[in-house]
Amino acid sequence: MLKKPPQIATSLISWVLPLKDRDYLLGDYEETFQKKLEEKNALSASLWYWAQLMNTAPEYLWESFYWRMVLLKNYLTIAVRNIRRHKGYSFISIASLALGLACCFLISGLIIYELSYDNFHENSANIYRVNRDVFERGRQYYVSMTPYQLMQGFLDKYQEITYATREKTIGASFVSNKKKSFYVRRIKIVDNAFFQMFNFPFIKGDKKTALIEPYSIVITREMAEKFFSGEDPLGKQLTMNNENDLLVTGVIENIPHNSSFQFDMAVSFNPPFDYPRPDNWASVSLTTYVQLNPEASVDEFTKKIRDFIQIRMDKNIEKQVRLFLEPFKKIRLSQYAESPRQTLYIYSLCAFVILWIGCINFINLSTARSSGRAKEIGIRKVVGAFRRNVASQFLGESLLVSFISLFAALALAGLLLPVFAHLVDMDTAGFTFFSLMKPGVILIMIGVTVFTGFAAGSYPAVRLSGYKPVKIFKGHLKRDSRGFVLRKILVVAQFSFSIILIIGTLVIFNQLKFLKTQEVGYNKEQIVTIHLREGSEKFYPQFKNQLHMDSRILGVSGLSTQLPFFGWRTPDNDWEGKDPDDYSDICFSNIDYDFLETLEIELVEGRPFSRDFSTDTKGFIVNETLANLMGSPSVIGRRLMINEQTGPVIGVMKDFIFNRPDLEEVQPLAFMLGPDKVSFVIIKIQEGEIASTLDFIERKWKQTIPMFPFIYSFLDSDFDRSFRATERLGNLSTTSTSISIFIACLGLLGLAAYTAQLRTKEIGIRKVLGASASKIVLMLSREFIKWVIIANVIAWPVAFFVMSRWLRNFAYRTSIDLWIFVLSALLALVLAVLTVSFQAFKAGMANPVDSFKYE
Amino acid sequence: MTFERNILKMIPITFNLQRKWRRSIMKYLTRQEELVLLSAFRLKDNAYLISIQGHLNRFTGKEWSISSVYIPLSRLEKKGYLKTTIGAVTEKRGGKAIKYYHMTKKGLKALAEIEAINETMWTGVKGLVKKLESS
Repeated sequence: MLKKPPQIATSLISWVLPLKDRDYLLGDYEETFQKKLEEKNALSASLWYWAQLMNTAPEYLWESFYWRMVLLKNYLTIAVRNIRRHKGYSFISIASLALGLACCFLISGLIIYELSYDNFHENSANIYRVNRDVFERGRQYYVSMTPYQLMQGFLDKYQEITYATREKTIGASFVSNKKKSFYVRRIKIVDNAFFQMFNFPFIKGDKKTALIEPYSIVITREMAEKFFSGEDPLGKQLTMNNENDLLVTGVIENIPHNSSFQFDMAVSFNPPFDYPRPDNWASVSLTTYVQLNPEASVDEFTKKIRDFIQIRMDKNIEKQVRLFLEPFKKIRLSQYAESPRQTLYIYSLCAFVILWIGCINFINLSTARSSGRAKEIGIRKVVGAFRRNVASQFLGESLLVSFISLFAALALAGLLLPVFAHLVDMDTAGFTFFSLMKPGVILIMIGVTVFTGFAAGSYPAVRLSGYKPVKIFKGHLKRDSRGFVLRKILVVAQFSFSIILIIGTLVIFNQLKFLKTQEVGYNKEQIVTIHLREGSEKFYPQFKNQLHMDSRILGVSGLSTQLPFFGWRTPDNDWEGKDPDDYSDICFSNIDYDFLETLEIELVEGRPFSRDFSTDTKGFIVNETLANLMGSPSVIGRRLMINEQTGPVIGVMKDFIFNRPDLEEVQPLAFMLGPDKVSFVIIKIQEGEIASTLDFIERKWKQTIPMFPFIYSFLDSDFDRSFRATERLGNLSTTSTSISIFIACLGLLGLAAYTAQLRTKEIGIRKVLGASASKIVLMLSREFIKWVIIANVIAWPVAFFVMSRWLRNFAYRTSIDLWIFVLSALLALVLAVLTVSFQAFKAGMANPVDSFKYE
Repeated sequence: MTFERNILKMIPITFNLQRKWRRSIMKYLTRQEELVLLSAFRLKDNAYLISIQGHLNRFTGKEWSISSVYIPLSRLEKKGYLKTTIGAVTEKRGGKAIKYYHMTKKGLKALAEIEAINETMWTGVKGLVKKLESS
């Protein structure tokens, strides 16, 4: 058996050897190797083999590359010369591609960032949220709120569950230790298993036992530094709302930005937080998460839990509730989340459109200009270039320029990142340039760059390289001043995309305006709301009395839930003559006297709660939706049961919007009287007296409730804030639209300039023969205007389809009016005409003598 | 008009010139190519890369690497001075075939020309080696 030369060296050698003689040369090497082997030992033979590799590789490579290098140098020189000679065109094509790539890079970064949410939880594949299906008037939707006892019930009954936790966010609370006190905005109440299910790394303390004991609290590092500045927080005490003393049992890392759970402190679920009526299966206001065994079948488990609540509830509200599991990973992008999937689609659309418009500019300008290089091709072919040499030269040149754009794009993206992050309302901390450098994105960018380079280079490479040199020199090759069909199609596509974006932006803003100005059914102006934190509710009557003394305060009332987000709803409801198949949830809230008057909610029938009737404490005021649900003839006086309170309906109010103002239609709503349950105070202030009245309110607050800081907000701005996601989308689409229109016009400018340049002599002759400047402007612009009009015709139906799909997400929506289309068409047309006629005007005004001297 | 006529007169002259160049100007070979070609000629039917290399090593007293033999060989082949045949596969060569080089007429002509040039160039300057050694 013969010994073989080193394998690695062989494959390395065979890589550099010329293809033609590779096998023979390998044989030659091996033969010499065998000879060395006979003469000396194996080691020196191998060494010789390696030395050969080192010695010969450069020689072979040089041999094969030398001549190519000579040509390449020439190609490079020509390419650089071309870029420099036509600075304007080069700038337009490079800048538009770079801008397109940069926007695409940023937006895809945003999309990836959105998709990266909650990815850091190791067990997220096995974690589910327990949701309730609610049936209502033939419509079915789901709610993620579940009863208090559900978790324990699940844990007792099902083996499949590894961990389960309840989770509830309580509003900002006033937290203090002996030295310092702060308002802590984001506090969660969770069960001990929470930190075992979700990965929030502990710096101090044990995640397995941190929240087992009642009155335990886990805080983030930021909070630990804030409260204990350097001391060891473990075992220290924190007081919440001046009532509850909590023991710090753990410190976790600050919550990552791309986590859906955002909190500063997590408190154990056991005391101190009393839950209203924990034994009631119908009362729901917290979220339950379960982690299943990896082996457990989700489908079967879902079947098992389906009726879990139903069989435990009162008989008269049977069949109303079905449970199902929603995978934790999907929650973020679900329909009711802050950034539903559709938003991401619109983001992608923007990125795609801008990128395409940039690419088209690049392709159009390069192909248009390449016809001016026919003579160069002719000379090259005469001197001996093959067709493929010319083709690869042009492809290479266009790839070179497109890669210049890619680098410009990366630099541009780095510069624009802070602006962009601000625009889309992103945390700049979690959204840095390097976090965007995902291999996928980079690969796509390189792919697009290569594609654009190829597409732009392919026209000269394929078409022009095919012409016979003789034809080129004799001038048979028609200079395509009119452009070929592809270019027209591309420009039309460019403008169609731009118009779609304009229409989209207009619709989004129209919708936003509609949402903000829509008739909510109550007067939200001049209303101050104050959240009474836990522990401060008992001061409400006293505070209210104090406020009543001032004449600038037109009304004081309160309710137990927040406006405009009502959190409380219950399937535990009944009335005389209720359809047994009706499974509606009813929203409810306790209100103080004067509530309807303060918010100017109109009554259709009956009367508001009044101190004159002692029976009103058991009464209800319902909205029209609930009244319709209860049926005819009149609901006044009929008995209603909600959450075990039974009483007569004393009034029917007009429907007003109290839930998420954009996504949900008006739900059935009932108000009960409960001045003692108020946790949101609403104060109506006289117009023009806001600042001084606020001072007054603050003074009174400090007198009555000094241990809590005074924090207020205005109802109308709270209301507007609920459209943040839509506003963000609006901002992004406006910017995208402006950029895409800008790039498209830039491209048009380039093309128009080029056309005018090609027709310089023609224009000169026309002018000599008596054409006026305006005629020439018209002549040059006509073609482009035709394109824009065609683009409009294409864009309208597409935009209409896309935007009506988007509008369907909203419960209250505007229509897509004709004026939007007309306006966007006008906008596109005016911009195009301005761009083109700028060039055409220049050409039209030029002195004919100059144009004859041209060339 | 005289200018154009002169140009027309020049056309046959250029054609003649071209033809003349083609006939007489044999491309000069590099020294390496010359040595390799000569070795291939001397080895007759056994001229392949390794044997040429051995031959060159012996006569020049220098180590020729495989690539330094191969590159002139492949250029000579491209220019048409050598033609090739493919030989047998042997185990000694790791299962790879062997490529033999043979002289073409053009190659022989080139060698002859080199010989002629060399002879004329070297007339009268013989004994250079001895002179160097003695001094």
